[in-house]
Amino acid sequence: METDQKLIAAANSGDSQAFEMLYLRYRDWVYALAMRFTGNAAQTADVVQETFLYLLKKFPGFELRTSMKSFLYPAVRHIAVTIARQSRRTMSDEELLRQAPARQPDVAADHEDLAAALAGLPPDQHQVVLMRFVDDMSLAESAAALDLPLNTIKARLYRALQALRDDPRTRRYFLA
Amino acid sequence: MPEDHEHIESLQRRVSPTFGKDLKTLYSPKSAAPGKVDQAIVQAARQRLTKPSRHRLRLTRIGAAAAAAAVILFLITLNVTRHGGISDQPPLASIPADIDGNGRVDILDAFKLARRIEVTGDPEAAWDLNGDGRIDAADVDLVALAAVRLDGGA
Amino acid sequence: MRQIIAVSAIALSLMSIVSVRGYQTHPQPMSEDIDVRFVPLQVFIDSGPTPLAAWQFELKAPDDVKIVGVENGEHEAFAEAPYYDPAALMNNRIIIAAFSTADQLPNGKTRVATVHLQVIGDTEPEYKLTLTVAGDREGSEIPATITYFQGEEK
Repeated sequence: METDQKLIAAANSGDSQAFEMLYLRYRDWVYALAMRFTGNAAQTADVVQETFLYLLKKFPGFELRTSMKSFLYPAVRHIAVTIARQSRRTMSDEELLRQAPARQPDVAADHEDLAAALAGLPPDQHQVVLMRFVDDMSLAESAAALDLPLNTIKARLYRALQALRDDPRTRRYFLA
Repeated sequence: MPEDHEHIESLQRRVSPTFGKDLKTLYSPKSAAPGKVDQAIVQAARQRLTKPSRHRLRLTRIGAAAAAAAVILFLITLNVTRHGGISDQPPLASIPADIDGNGRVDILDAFKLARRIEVTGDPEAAWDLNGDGRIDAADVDLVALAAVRLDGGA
Repeated sequence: MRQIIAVSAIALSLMSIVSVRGYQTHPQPMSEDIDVRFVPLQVFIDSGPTPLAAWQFELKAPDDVKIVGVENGEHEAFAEAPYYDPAALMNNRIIIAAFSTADQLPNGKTRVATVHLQVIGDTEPEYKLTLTVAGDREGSEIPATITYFQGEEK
C-alpha cells in the first residue's frame, strides 16, 4: 500500500482519489476515537465528516510533519468537544437530564473489572493508556498529538501501568 | 522521575497481549461511519482536488527544469519493492521469470527462487534478473511482480 | 544527464496522461450527488491440513466497482502487504499474491488479504474470484479453495 506521504503528495497534486484512499485508511480509526469523545453515533458521524473536511481544506499545500494519527487526534478531540457543546446548547434542560452518560462504553460482563480499573485512573493516565493500547499510537505519536514532552507521556503511562498491575482486578494482564 | 523512564520499557514488555485485545473490545464502537459521510467526503474531495484546467495551467507554468526535478523526486520516492511500483528495472516481459520452467509465471516461481537463495546460498547466475551482479530479494521481487502484472508483462 | 532528461520527458507525458485521465474518470458535474461507499472484501484460502506457503488469486469486479487498496492477511507469515500491480488501483481487476518462507505457516482456512473497494450505488456487486495457485513449503501446488465475504471481518 502507498504510504501516507505518497498519498498526500498525490492529493497535493490534485489527485482526489489519493485523498479518498487516505480517508478510507483513517476513517474507522477516527470514528472509534470520536465515539469515545461523543458517546453517540449521530454526533460521531458529524465529527468524522468535519474532521476530514478540515483535513481536505489543507490541500493543496498540506505538509505532514508528524504522523497522521498525531495530526488527526487533536483535531478529532477539538471537533468532538465543539459539536458536543453545540448539541447541548440546543437541547432543552429536559433533554439534557434524560441523556444517558455518554462517555462510558457498553460493558460486557467479563470486561467490567477492566472498565472499573481504568475508570479509577486519573484522566491523563487513562488517556495515555487508551492512546497506546486502543488507538495504537506510539509514545512519540501520543506526545506529538498532545503537544507534551515524551518524558511526560512515558511517566503517565508508567504510573498507569503500575496502578493497573497492582490492582487485583487487572493484575492478570501482566506477565510475571 | 528518572526511575519511571528506566522502567517504562520493562513494564510495557510485561503487559500481556490480551490487555490491548480486551481494551479494544471494550472501546470498539457498535456502529460505523454511515455511507452519507463517505459520499460527502468523496464529493468534497472531487470538488476541491479535481480541477483539470488548473492542473493544465500549473503544468504549462512550470519550467522544464522544475518539472524534471519534481518528476525525479516523484520517481525516487516510489518504493520499488514487494508492493509494486514503477521501476527502472528491465521490462518484465524480457526477464526469464519462469523459474521452475513449467511454462507459466506465478508466485510459485518467486517462492522457489526465494527458497533457493535462502537454502542453497548458491543460486544460478541466470537468476540475476535485474543484472546488478547479485541474486537477492530484488530478483525475487521482479519475479513476483511479473506474476501479478495485469498485462502479463507485455 | 541524458537519462534524466529522458526519464523526465516520459514522466511529464505520464503526468499529462494522468491529469487527463483523472478528468475523464470524473466526467459528471461536480455538484451531482454521488452514491459512493467503501467496502472491504475479506478473502480466505483454505488449504486443509497442508500449511500454506504461497498463493495467488485474481479478482474481477463489475465495471463500476473500483479497487482502492489491498491489505495483508491475518497470519504472521503473511503480515507483509502482498504483491499486486499498482495499475490495478482504481480499476476493477487485480491479481494478488504472496509467499512466505517462514517456519510457521497457516493451514485450514485463513484470511490472506482484504481488498478495499469503492462501490457506487445500492446494489450488492458480484465478484469473480479465481485461485490461480496455492503452494506448500516445498513449492508444490496443493489443492485449496478460495472464498470471500464483503464487510468488516467478523
